[in-house]
Amino acid sequence: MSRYIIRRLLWMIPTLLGIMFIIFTISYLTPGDPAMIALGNNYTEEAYQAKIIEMGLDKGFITRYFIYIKDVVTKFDLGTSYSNLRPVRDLILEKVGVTLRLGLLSSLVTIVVGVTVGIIAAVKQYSAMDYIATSLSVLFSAMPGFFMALVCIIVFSLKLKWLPAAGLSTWRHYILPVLCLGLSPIAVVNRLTRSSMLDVIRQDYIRTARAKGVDERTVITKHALRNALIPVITVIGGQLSMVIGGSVIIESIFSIPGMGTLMMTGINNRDYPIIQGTVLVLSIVICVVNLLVDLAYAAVDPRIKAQYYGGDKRKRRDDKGEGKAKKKGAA
Amino acid sequence: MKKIGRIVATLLTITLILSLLAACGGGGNTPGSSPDASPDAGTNSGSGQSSAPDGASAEPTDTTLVYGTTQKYNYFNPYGGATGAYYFMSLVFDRLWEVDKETTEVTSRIFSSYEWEDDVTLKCVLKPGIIFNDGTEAKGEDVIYSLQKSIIDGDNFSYYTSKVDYDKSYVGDDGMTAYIVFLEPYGAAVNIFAQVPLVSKAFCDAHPNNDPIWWSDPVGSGPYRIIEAVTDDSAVYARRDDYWNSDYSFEVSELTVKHYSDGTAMWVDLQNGVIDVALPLSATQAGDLVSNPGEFTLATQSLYDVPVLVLRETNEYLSDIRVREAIAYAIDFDSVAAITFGELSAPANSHFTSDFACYNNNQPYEYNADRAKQVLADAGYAEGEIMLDFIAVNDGFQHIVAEAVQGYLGAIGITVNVQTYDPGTAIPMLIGGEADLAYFGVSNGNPEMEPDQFFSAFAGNGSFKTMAIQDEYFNSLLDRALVSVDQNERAELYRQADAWMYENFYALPICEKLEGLAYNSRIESIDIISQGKGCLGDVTFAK
Repeated sequence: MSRYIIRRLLWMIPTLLGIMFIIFTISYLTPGDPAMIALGNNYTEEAYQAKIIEMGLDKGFITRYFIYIKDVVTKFDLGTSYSNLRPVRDLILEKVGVTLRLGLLSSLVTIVVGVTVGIIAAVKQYSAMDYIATSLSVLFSAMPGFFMALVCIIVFSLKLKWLPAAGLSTWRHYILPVLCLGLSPIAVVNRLTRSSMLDVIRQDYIRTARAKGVDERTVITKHALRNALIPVITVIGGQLSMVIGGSVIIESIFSIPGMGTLMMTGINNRDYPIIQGTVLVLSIVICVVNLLVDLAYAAVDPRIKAQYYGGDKRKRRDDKGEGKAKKKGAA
Repeated sequence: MKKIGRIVATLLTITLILSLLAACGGGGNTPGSSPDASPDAGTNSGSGQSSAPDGASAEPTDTTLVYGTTQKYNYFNPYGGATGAYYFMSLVFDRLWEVDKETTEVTSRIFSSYEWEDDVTLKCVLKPGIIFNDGTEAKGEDVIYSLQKSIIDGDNFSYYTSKVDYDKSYVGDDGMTAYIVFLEPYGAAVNIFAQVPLVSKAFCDAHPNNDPIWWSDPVGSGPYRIIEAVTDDSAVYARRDDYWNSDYSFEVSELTVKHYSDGTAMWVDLQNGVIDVALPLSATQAGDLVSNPGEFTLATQSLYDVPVLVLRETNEYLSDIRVREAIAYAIDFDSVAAITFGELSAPANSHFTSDFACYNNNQPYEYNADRAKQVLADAGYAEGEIMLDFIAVNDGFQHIVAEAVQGYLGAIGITVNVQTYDPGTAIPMLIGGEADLAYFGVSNGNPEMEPDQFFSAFAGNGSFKTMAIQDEYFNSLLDRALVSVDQNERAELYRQADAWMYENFYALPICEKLEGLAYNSRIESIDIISQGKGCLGDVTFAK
């Protein structure tokens, strides 16, 4: 298993290098001149030429790319923001925690609520609970996140005055952003869990378990759920990535100083270091999330776990066998 | 064993969840949010509530204040980068000069005197006892360094400060007199340099721009000092009781500025009492307050800004004065301003507000579509012949102006193609002269704006090809005004330039922009761009 993890981590390196090349190229080709934007109304040809040199934009694409890669790999130096003059690494370190906290909380809510409601809806199919859950899933799937956020602010902050509208100072500030980020994925996970559970609980082995007198809770949680979760885990992995990457709009609406607002600022100002840095960090996060999802498969499905372990053990057995055969042969 | 494993896993999960929630921070006194900042319906709870007994006139017991703003101000170094709003800087830094908008005279709170010794030498005598918030006293070298720093940092303002000859500039033997020597006569200096903050050379030398102290506790001589700052979130300023200038006093003892990336959230927090003042308001919010003021007061202040509709002189049609005249008559600028800025606009008949010495009380352009059509017809242009490109920046209102102009000009047979881009794309297009029509505004709330900052964009050798005007007479006025050190002569020359532009239908004034802010009943009056004080601390609490 550890070999598998190490192999996956090593595969992240060329993945991230590829991502960095793509985003660097896109930034290079995107219309808009960061030096002109930085100068704004104070643009003059002399100031522009000086600004270009200051920003390092006078060098060619390949040179700039390799300088960037070298700095990132050797020092994790993501450059200096054109608009902020601060190291991008420091900016990201300040804000990534906020975004990750939001993302993790949303993901936790998504998993717990989505799976639980999906199980209940499947077990109590065609009940009122099932219909309500399905209807709400359709509603929340269709509703855009930004609209949800504005509605929540108007209802819960302005009209009812139950919850604050901006910032992340106290635990109460987290409720609305987490809800808005998580409702759409909850809907997806809920529906998938329901359909997956419905498939599984109709299987013969479930009927056998019931016939053998196993209590319903054990049937559902021990026998049905683990088999039903495999496709759900796949979707959860994708949803987690979307939650983390899709927090841009939610952070803007709730005035949360996270990676999303940093990225938006970078895009508007053509602040290439910020754009490249935020994309790189988000890519790392998503790669790690995908790895965790794959490990979750192993935790749920013994066949996959056997594959991870068995592959290693079998290889070592074979190697030992060959070694012994060679020794015997030598002897 | 499996059971134990499951129990352990459950306990670990619960611990993780609790840790995450704890890491969120619960009930802490972070800036802009007191523990009991729960929004209560119908009350006016700012962060800390003063409650004088009914009928009694008492001094407010709570002199803290919370501002909410959508303006970025995450970097407290006044040079380089995104420095943020003008009035936040004024809390921490005194400026070299200030312009009294009522008398249009240039004054200074830090100089006991200043005068031009000759055409290129400006002698400024610093008042003794100007103390920075680190306890050091300001000297003449700090004045010269305050100008030079923008060049050292490659700041946008270096365009102006580069006109100083720093090799020849020097400090007198008394250590308090700064002789600022220019490379050539530069009459705009005093007005332009009014925007320059006074900084400590010793502090700047010890702390480069990427030193984190510039985001948390910069040294300035202003009436407030930053005591807490969270990037892109909030900053807390405490009033300096050792502020050197006894002529000014401020009621606000502690001022918190909360940053919002979205105006809706700011508006809701104002309603809920989380903040006491919200600025700037959008046109919609200002309109809502006018209709339903409730417990809040809308205050508007001039932004000293007259945005204009730019007509590119080098366009084959716009080079004809009759086409420009027709455009001026075809557009109802008051209506354009009303739909764009709502309550936050006033009619304009000059390129400057009346606060400027070079203001001309011109006859407003008459909105007369029939007359516009007639002018075009007399000039020999067929309906639909003229096609123009309007390049707008997607800043929330330029496209509204562009579409309104498109509608009005369409009514007289001129086709306008509106293209909206983000600033990164639009600005290079404006510089490159790709736009026939554009929206342009320069002041953005700076009461010390020097007319040259507006006119230089239209000068023949200006960098924005969309705006450049090649007329010799016009450019000669600008050149003479730039070098003259006689402020009256400068004002007259700029008045003539303004009149010439107006009569020749260049840069059609759209409106005078106002800034709207709303405050609750804790405050009696507020004047954030007040003369002589000019900072957010200029608040009078309700007694």
